[in-house]
Amino acid sequence: MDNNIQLNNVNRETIVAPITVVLTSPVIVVRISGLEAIKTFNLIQDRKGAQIAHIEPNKVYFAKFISLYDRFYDDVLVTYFKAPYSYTGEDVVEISFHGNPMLISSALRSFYDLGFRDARNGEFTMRAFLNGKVSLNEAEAIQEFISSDSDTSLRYAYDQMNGSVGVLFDSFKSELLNCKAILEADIDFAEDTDISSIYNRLLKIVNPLLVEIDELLLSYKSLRSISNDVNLVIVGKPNVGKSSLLNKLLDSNRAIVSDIAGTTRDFISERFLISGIPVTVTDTAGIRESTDEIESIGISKSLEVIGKADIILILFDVNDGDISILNDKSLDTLINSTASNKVIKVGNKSDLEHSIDASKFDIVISSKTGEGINNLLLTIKDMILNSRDIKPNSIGIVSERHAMLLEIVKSSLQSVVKNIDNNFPEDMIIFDLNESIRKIEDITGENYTEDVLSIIFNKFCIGK
Amino acid sequence: MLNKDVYDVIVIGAGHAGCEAALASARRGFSTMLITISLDKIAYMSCNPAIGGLAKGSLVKDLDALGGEMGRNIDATFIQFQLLNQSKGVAARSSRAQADKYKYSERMKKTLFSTDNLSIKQAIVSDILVNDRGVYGIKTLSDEEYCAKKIIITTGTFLNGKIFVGDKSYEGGRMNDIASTHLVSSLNSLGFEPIRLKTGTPARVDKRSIDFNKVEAYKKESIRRGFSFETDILDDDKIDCFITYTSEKTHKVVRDNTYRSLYFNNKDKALGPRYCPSMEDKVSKFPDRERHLIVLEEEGIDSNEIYINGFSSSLPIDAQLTAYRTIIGLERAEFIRPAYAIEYIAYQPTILKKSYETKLIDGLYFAGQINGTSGYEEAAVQGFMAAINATLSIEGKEPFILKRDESYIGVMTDDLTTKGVDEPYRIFSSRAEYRMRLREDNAEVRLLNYGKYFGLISDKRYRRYLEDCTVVSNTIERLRNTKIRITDKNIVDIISKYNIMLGESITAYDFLKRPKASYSILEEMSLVDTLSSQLKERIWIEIFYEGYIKKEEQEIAKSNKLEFIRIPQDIDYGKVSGLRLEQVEKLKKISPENLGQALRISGMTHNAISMLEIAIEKFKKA
Repeated sequence: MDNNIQLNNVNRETIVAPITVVLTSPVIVVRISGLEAIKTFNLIQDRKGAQIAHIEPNKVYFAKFISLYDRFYDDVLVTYFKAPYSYTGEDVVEISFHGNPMLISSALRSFYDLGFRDARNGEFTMRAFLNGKVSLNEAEAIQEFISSDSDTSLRYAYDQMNGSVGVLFDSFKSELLNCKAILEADIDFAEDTDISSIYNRLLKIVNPLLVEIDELLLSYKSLRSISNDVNLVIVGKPNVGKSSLLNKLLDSNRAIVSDIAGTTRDFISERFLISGIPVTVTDTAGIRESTDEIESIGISKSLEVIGKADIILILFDVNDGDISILNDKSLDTLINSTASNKVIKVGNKSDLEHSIDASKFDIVISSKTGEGINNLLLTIKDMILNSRDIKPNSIGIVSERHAMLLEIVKSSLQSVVKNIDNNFPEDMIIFDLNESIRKIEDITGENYTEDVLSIIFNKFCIGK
Repeated sequence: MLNKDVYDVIVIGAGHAGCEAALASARRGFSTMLITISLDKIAYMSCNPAIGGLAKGSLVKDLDALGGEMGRNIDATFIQFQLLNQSKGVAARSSRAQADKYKYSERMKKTLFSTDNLSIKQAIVSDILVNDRGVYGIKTLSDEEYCAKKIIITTGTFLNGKIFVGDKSYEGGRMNDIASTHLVSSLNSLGFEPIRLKTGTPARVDKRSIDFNKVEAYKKESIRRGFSFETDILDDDKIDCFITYTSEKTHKVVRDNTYRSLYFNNKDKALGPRYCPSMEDKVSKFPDRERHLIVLEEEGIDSNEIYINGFSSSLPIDAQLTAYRTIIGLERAEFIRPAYAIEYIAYQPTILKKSYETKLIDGLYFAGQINGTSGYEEAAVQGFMAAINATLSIEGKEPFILKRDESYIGVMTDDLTTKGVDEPYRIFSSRAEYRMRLREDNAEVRLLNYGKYFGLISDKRYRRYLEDCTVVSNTIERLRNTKIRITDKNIVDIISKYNIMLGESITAYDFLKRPKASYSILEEMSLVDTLSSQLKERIWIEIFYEGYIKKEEQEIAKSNKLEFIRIPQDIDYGKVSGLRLEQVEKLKKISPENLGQALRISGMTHNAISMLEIAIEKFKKA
């Protein structure tokens, strides 16, 4: 009669999550909280490569972080807060990594290997409340502040980009649900169907799916291993809005923006991810035909940067009647001689009155209102994928978490195939299918409930 | 006219829910009264004369392990037995038995009349009597009043039942039985809001008018094992069932006459079960199907009624008969009773606590079709659970609530109270998350201790169960230490006979993980003791499915954490910050008992659950 026993939540799992947004930035901080947080020290070495014997609380250690997963390492800052003197009131370790999302992916995978799981939104704060570290009002204020429904900021970075992962995984899920419906209809309605024909139908769905997942994982791996960033250069006449476009792309305000032509006196380079691919964007100086020494240096540097660019984004002011590229002949010549599949012509300031026909541009945007920015990102992405010969599907996975979940999906489906091969019974096949569906749902963040029965009722004429 | 006696429990209705409720209550030693509209229709099978079937078989076995009657009753009165899905894996298997429906009803009646503490009355209940402390009794149409501490309503399709045949419709709880209309007004006045549901039943055809030469006998070789774990040997089958099919002609008749069905063309029609469509539904939804399966099932040894499984309908009788006569073998069919549809009143089961007590009135329990379910088995287990909880409540004890990982009963209870129904609810295997555990064969392992605790399991049975457990664990231990040596010629001969490949010597334990291996083969090798077929199977399952069972156990442990965090029933959801308005509305309506249940309410997110958890902590500290 232990149905209604109430347990205290003492044995909470150890959780981990980046607490800064995972975009290319100087630093990304990852927090680990829970009873086993100090297991993290197994991944930390001092600069000479020796295990640090004793990590004291509340001190900052400059150390090497070594990923269990793929042996990558990073120079990091580690701080240990001993319970109850921490944000959550539990043992907490915080690590500041260099701001490369790829490193973070690998690090997170190491943490999962240690048995930690992703922190849900606001979970650190919830634990802080449960452990009496913050008042309810504080906890609620913080919770409400975190309004996104996605699990981690990794997901956030992705969701910003486009809905492609959703579409892709939804299609996987619906294929798997179809498989499940075939089996469930057979089990729940005991129609006298020939088992080998059912298994053949399953294999016809599962085998191609496995190939697709495999390709996805492979190209994800090759994606991770791209060592050189894609070079994207923004060029354009002064005050066409290059800096504000750059900012829009980075979704931050790191470059200085003003209305006075020529404020940007040097190149601004920033890195960010497009569908998991690191991109370095360079904003060329606002260039004028000028005797200004700095600007002249700018032009020769511009020539160099443009020469190395994978993608050139030429920005125009849609209100400016003159649509020559720049005011510099050498630059114009260089750009004109560049293959057209590397160039995107972008008309900016669509929020103001247009004086120019929009069809002269590949894309019209407003870096002020954000209009057209998503389209621009999609175009850039397509160009990158074309230039690197990457399967378009691999855009689906942007985080290590996705990749890991997908690997479980893969192994469950492999087990489906193996069990069918052995002619093992349907209950086993369903078990593995369920597992794979659950993992897909972990990626997409939604649950099926009545889906399968609905599929059965719609597709099969059921009931004697 | 007030009767002085005060019963512990009064059960209204003597269908499958009512019988189990009355028996469980009386057998637990509580004075119990069972009131029915018709004493001649006790545990009557209004529709398909069969017990069990997919996932339903599991409900019956679980009920048996808890101390219910249904399993024993069908084992004593069945006429044909099948183990469905035998080849589809142990987690997919289900028992189903064709009943002699008259003998089934008769035996149940006999059981009721021979049970102590149980009095049986034939009367129509018109009112539920309630005071400020909850329910205290009932009143009948003839103004008799009976007092009770707890009332269990199990009225099936009788609440405002309305029968549809063609363009005719009339009141009735079942064909030729009166409906119960007064009780609905009484429940309305207590604040219950009715919903309307629909079900249907096919015609019964005179056996002598069927040409059995044209139809195919439907009989499968089957492991034979009773529903009740107390049934040692099952009798032989007494009849065959037969298969036939509809034809294009049938579909044309149905299509041409659908306009004459009052029910089918009613825009405001009540919702029927999708899994049990009428022929009108089948023809309109699947126009491309050339034929639909029809099974001919006998209703009883001493009866000529044949149940035409697969052809429920609300067409006019003349159209029904024309359509039936287009079915192979039924060309000269004569109806004993026509098919009909029936609409009835039920109540959204979200008004129930998981104990089946209504949230509205203390001491008032609902069980069976009144909760929007369908099926004898679903009804029976609800009746049983309601009675157990009514009696536990009299004893001042905590309610008995099975979890989703313990039984299909737990799955159904949670589904009903968390999600409500939008069609008559039937249990399906696919509704359960943990099917490796919820198997038919291990019902006793999962539930017998509860039954023992309730005092519903005999000492003899319990001792046998404990002995079985010891044998199983000892044998498994021994199998780990028994080597199958491929150097032994005798053994090599045996395994090659069964087409099993062994590259090296392995333990008997690992041997049982191989496809095609079985404990019986080990017996043949003289490596193990001879055991009963039940125990052999239990041992084989534990080993063959070990990996899957373990994996599922981990899943269960993980997901159970939230199930153990109880939500105080007086929590004010409106004051929990961070919840969306529609989440607050749903939580108020369902008032889930724990966080696990809350998460299963549609529209709930992990974030909302975190907010709730915070609020619960705050509530506890306040």
